[in-house]
Formats: sequence, structure tokens, C-alpha cells
Amino acid sequence: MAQAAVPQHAAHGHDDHHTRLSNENQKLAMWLYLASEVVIFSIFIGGYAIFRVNNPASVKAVHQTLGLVLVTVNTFLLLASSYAMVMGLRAIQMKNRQQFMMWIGATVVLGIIFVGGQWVEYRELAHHEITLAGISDQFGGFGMRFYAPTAFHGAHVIVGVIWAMVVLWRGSRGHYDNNPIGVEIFGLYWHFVDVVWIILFTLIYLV
Amino acid sequence: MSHETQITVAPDTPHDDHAHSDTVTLPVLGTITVPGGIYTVVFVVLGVLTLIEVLIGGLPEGFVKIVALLAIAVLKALLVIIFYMHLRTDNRLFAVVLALPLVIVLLSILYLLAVPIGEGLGYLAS
Repeated sequence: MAQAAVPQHAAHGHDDHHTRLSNENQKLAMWLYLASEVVIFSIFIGGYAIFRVNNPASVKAVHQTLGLVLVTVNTFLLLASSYAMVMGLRAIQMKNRQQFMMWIGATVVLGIIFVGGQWVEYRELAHHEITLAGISDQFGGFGMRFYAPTAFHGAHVIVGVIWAMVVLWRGSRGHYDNNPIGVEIFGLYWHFVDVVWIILFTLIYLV
Repeated sequence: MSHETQITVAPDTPHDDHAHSDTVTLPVLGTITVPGGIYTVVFVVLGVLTLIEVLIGGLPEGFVKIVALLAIAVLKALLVIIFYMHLRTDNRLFAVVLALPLVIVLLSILYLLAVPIGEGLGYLAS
């Protein structure tokens, strides 16, 4: 019996090592993908920053036209969704599938409400004629610098919501019970989207 | 609570026990126990910082205001990256992968901000 136990233990250790290595590689791949996203979002953010420096009057006019209430509520929603995401990961790591479902479900709902809030904001902006009209509009081309980063970010939130639904569905079937790396990878994406919004919120709406 | 369950695959990650604990030691408040532990503390701090940002945003225009707002935004982003994305305890290579493009784009943006409209390397070449 003892002789049989040694190779079994060794095999188990080998599996653990392989899984650990695979998890690390998946996380590295995700970080590399996020690094590419950093570059793309930075182009938008840099473009806006240069516009902000060169056209302070246009930005001030937009800030005076728009309120901060909706976007602040939306920001809290996205922060809350990030919290729900990390709590979902914590729950599945602690093998509590019911709590995992609850937290990831909350992430989905908060993400959907965020997108809805952004849609309402866009309608309000259009009502004030802040559009993609170009540099000749009354806000001096603010629209094209605003919509590019926020809409691209919104698209990421929509993708994230769909991904969260997939994670929820797979989690409900016990897919992550033994190895929650899939949840962690999705979490990296979702938190990155949150980080981008933290920067956009400050830069576009407050500065 | 932190030792109620065993993680089958990842017993090697030392941050797991820390992340699963409801007890957190904070600089000023000392050791406190809250559901969710460090994740809840970070969430509350993020919320408070956002409120402070909105309040600062209502102040008159000025260089100090802009610097303060950007500093708070960077702090919030770092909190998410360090604690929610586990960069504090994960492989250092991940931090390098994130930092490298950030440094390059930051230098590029600073260059573009420093160059007046109508000038720059492209205009020199022509």
C-alpha cells in the first residue's frame, strides 16, 4: 500500500504543478492583452488631454451644461460591480458556489445598469447638441473627443457583461469548483474596465 | 472563516488566506473585522475618494485642483490594481507587463502636451 501511495502522491503533485503553471500562463496572457488595451485607451486619453489643454473654454462650457449626478451614480455602480466581482472570486475560491452566483449576478446587473446610464447620458448630450459633428459645433469639437473613449469603454462593459453571464452559467454547472482561474481571468478584465473608467471619470468630467 | 474550506488547486498562493480573512490591519484604525475583509475596506475607500473627487470638482479652476484630482484618480486606480487585481501578491512579471506600456504612453502624452500646435517632429521633417 505504501508503495502505491508514493506514485499516487507524486502524480497528484505533478497535476497540481501543471495546473499551477497553466493558471500562471493564462494570467500572463491576460495581462499581455490588458497591456495592449492600455495603449489603445491611452491614445484616446492622450487625445482628450491635449484637447483639454488647448480648448479649456469648450470643456468648461460642457461642464456647465451637464450635471455630475448621473455620471457620479454610474461611477459608484461600476465601483460596486468591481467589488461584487472580487467578492464572487473570493466566494468560489472558498467553495461557496451560492455566494459566487449571487456576487457575479450582481456584477452582471450593475454592468447592465451602467450601460443603461451611459445611454441616458448620451441622449442628454445629444439633446444639448453635443454630438460627433466635428470641430465646427458650439463646443469646439468636444463631442468626438468625448464619445471615442467613453463609447469604446462602454463597448468593453457590454463585452464584460456578456462574459460575466458566461462565467455565471459555467459556474452554476460547477466548472470552477476545483479551479477558479476562469473567474480570476474574467476578474482581471472587469477590474481593468473599472480602472479605465476611474481615469476617464476624473479626466473628462472633473478636470 | 478563512480556514473553513480548502482550495484544491491553488494551495501555493500565499495571498489567498489573506484575501479570505475578514480581519484587516489598517494604518490608523488598527485591526478590524468586516465581512469581505480587505476587499470591503478598499471598496469603502474608493467610494470616499470618489466623493472627495466630486467635491473638489466643484471648486474653482486651478492647477492645484487638477493635480489633486489626478492624484486621487491614480490612487484609486492603484487600489483596484493592487488589491482587486492582486498585483501586490501575484507574479512580478505581471507588474512589468502593465508598467512598460504605461511608461511609454505617459512619455508620449507628455511630449505631445509639451509641443505647441503646428510644431513637432513631423513638422521638422517636412
